[in-house]
Amino acid sequence: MEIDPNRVWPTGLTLPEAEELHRHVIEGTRLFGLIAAGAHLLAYIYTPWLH
Amino acid sequence: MNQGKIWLVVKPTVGLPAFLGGVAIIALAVHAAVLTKTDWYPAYFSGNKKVKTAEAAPTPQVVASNTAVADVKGSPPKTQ
Repeated sequence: MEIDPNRVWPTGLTLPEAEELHRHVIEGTRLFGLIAAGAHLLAYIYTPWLH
Repeated sequence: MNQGKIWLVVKPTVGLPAFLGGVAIIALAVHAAVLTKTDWYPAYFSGNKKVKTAEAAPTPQVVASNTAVADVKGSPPKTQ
């Protein structure tokens, strides 16, 4: 089922706009995850957490 | 990235704050649980208590000596 890329959906976005927005959401989630993973690694090393 | 179609049916002005707010609430809840269920986490934020008590003890003495000096200096004008 193909979606017309020029159709404006009820949210006001077209399919390319929605995918562009979602790309930023994914990038932000990855960056947040990387920073959080680093912070948890430091917490594991320097605190009694999970020992 | 086929999940990007979600923004065709969920308004970004609603979905993004809900998503980010959900992440923030879960993160705060987990850290609050660790804060209340362990003793080392509050101790970490309390800092080194031994150093703080040692520093805090001389402070009243210093204030008291300054007060005494101020009284002595301030007394001559009263007598005149």
